[in-house]
Amino acid sequence: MTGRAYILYPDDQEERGHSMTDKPGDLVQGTLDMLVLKTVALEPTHGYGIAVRIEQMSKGVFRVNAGSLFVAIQRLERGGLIRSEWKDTENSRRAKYYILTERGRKRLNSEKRQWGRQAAAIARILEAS
Amino acid sequence: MPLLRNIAAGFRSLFQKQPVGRELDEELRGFMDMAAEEGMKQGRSQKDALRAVRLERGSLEAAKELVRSAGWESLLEASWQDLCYGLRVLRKSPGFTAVTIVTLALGIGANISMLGVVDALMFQMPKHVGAPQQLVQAGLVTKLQPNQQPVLSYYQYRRLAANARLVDIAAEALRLKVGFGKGVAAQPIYASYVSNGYLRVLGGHMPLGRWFSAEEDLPTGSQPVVVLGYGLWQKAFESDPKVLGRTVQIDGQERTVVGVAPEGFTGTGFLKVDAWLPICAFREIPLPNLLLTTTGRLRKGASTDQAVAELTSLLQQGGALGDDQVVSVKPLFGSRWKTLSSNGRVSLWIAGVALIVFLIACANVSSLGLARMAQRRHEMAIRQHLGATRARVMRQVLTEGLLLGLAGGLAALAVALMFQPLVRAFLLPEGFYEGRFLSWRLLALAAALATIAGCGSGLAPAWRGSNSRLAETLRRGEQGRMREGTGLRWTLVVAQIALALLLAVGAGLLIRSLSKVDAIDLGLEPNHLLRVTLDLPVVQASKGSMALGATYARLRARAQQVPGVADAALADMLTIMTELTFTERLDSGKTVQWTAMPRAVTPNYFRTTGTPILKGRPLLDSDTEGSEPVVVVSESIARSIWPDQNPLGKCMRTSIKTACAQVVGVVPDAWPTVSLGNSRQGAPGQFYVPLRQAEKQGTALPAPDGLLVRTKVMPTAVTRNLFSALESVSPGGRYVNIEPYAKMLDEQTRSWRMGASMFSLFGGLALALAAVGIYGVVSFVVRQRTHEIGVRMALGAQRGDVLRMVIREGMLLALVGMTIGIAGALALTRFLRSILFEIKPTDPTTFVGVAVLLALVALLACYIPARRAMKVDPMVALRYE
Repeated sequence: MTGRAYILYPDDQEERGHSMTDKPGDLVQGTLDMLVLKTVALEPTHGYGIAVRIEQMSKGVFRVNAGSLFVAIQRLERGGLIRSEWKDTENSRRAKYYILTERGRKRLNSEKRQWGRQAAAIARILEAS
Repeated sequence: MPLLRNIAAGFRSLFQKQPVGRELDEELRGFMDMAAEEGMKQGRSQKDALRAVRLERGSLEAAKELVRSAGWESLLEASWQDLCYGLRVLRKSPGFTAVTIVTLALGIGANISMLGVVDALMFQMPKHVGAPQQLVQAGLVTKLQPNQQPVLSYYQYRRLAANARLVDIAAEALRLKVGFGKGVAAQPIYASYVSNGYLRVLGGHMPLGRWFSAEEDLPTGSQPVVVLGYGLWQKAFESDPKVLGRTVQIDGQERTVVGVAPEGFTGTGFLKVDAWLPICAFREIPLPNLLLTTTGRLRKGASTDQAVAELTSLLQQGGALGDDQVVSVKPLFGSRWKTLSSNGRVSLWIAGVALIVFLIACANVSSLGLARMAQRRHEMAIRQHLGATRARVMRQVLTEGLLLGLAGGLAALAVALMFQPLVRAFLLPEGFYEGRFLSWRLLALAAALATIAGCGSGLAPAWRGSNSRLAETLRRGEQGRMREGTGLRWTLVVAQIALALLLAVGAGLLIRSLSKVDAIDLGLEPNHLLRVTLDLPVVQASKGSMALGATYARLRARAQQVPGVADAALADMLTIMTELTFTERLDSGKTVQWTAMPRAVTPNYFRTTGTPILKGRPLLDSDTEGSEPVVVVSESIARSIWPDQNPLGKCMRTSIKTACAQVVGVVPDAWPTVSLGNSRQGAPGQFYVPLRQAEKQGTALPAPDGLLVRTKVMPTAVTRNLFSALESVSPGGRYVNIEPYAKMLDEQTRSWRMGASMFSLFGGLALALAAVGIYGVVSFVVRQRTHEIGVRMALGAQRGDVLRMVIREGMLLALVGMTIGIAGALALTRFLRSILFEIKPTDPTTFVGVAVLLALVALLACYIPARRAMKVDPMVALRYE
């Protein structure tokens, strides 16, 4: 993969941002959720931290859009996979920190396994000659 | 758990919008600032950095909107917004809103009222009947007619009730009008004679006192008792609980009140009962002759076949089963349709008609909505351009429709409740127990109709309204709106006219039937005629017991002494139509068959009823047992036996016994009141035999079971005196029924009157709605075409041309609708045949008349807007844009 993949919605949908089209493709949705869980699992952090970390870890392949990120965070939090608390950052700014819950850890593990299986399977198919 | 948390979080953001929004705001701003700081570290200015962040990561507002709309609560919120906006919009156009609500209120209200009646007739179970599906009718039928109502004799019933294990059996003898109170003060009430297990079998509970005991139910019963109906207890005793133990006079006998029946308890029937009496309290027929209908409750798990087997063996043991009889056990509440009276059927028809009115109302509302939508094109287009999706716009418009539907539904309920007593009094049989009107079924129906109306009338406008392209709409402006949406509206108007025509044809046919019924030559003069009967069961009267004849003779003698009475005649009241077939051998040797209703009357019958003597003489007092047998025949009989000959002096066989009764007079054919208009061939023929020769002349003659009294003055002035005079000689103080003959006729013609008036009412409503529909579309088109009309006039078109043009377009619609309507009517009216009288379902007069009427109404509806079009000032029209 070269270049950048934006985790965001197609332009027009983004612009309207209304209820009818708020369901992104399953892969994107599921993937972003998993990535957020992973970053939070490493260390509790705030929204920007999550975005930056995803970009760093992907070596800049993924750029995270604020809207998509916070929708994912809201979804995970309502699902009880992460919880939040307001804390001060090292730059003494107030920010909402997200912490992985026990439930989230379990989900992350199962997602990881599943992703591994799927990726391997897809790779096998693509490489079959 | 997660679901719960999700819901809780949703509610938090719904109801604590401020804090939640602020929190999200703060978080997002933090995000943006941090991202910008990162950019500033790389040497950009703060402004540049922020712009870069917005570009890369989307704007703060967009992100906020996205997050907010991701939760489930956003849908709720949007609906709430739609609702508020809808209310505001509707409030801003009160005219439209009011017309729509009134239209729906009429359309839905008519249906609720009618379905209330249908509900009462077809679906409601009698009150205080538990588990009605377990109830059966058990009894004997003849092998030849197994579908008859099963009956039992009193002793058969006693045997089965005492021994049957699979069915718990109770019996009901009959429901009668009896006197309540003493002498002249006696009021007519309805009494039902039932067994002591009646309430138990049906599953009711006594609110006060007890039902009569098995002991009180026996012929040897110690003491006469009565269970009062709840209504009578309320009315006559003001719901006094101390009524127990008091004695009341019912049916000429002192009875002790032992209990009060549950409110609205009508037994297995649907007719009001004021007092419940033990079967043995019924004294007019000796117990062995009494036939009872039964109500049984099957024991759990028992089938009707098992019950039949058990009852059969029980009756066989007792030797009480005749050779040609079989036991029949069938569900008590079987087909309601079969037992429905003709009035009931008419009511059902009217309910169907109400549904058509509803459809027309919906079409009207939809059409109005479309017109309004055309005016709101700009609004819709701009909303869509500002980012509302089509679904969102549709939802908005649909919400408005539903709001209107809801308001209409509520108004309809109010209308229905207001008119309900009137509708019930008019459409339900007399004495029908007035149960609760607002059942869940009705409320559900009202809700369903309101929703259908709301969706139905909101959908088309919603589709139109959301289907707009801004640029086009704005560019085309007034011109562009010209024809949009009118195609659909035209279709709606055509449908309305077709439906209205259908109803109007129905109304026309029924009105013509009614006028035919009213014009029936009764063969007698019903004004100033009273009918006096003792409410005795038909079974007994037709047996022709001598005692009864003597009773009536006594009553007649007494009645003739009452001041104001001109004459009193004794006759059978033709409560059952008995047409018999006779054979006559003519002088020429040929035989003719003819049918007639034989009647035995006192000689003054013709004078009393006002029957004109067409030929010969009436019966005379001198025609006695000792004199030659004589007979007076009606026209049709004379015609069918002796066509082209003078019937006077001919010989007629009035029965097998009488070889020759001399025809002394001819009278017109008379309609028996009981079957007025039910016979398709016209009035049946009758022949009249002097009462005193009845014994001598034949066995087929019905015994007199009533008195006809002609009064010199207004009958109402005499009724009271007559009542007190007859009361004193009535056997056993039986209640004396005095009814004006005209009132009986009224009851007979009620189903036509009902059908004609309800059809006319609904037909008129439909016509008015359709007229409003045409008017609406035409005036809308005129308004949209003001510019065009202005151009035409500027180019030299005359006012008359414009008028004709507009009317032509409107009338084209009307004609298409009428053609469809007439085709539909031709196909459908034949189903009305059973409630028509001497009118063919395709009666040309009606069809032409209705078509002309409708055309005139349509013309008027077009003319008003057309005149407006004619007055268009070209200058104003052209400057308008």
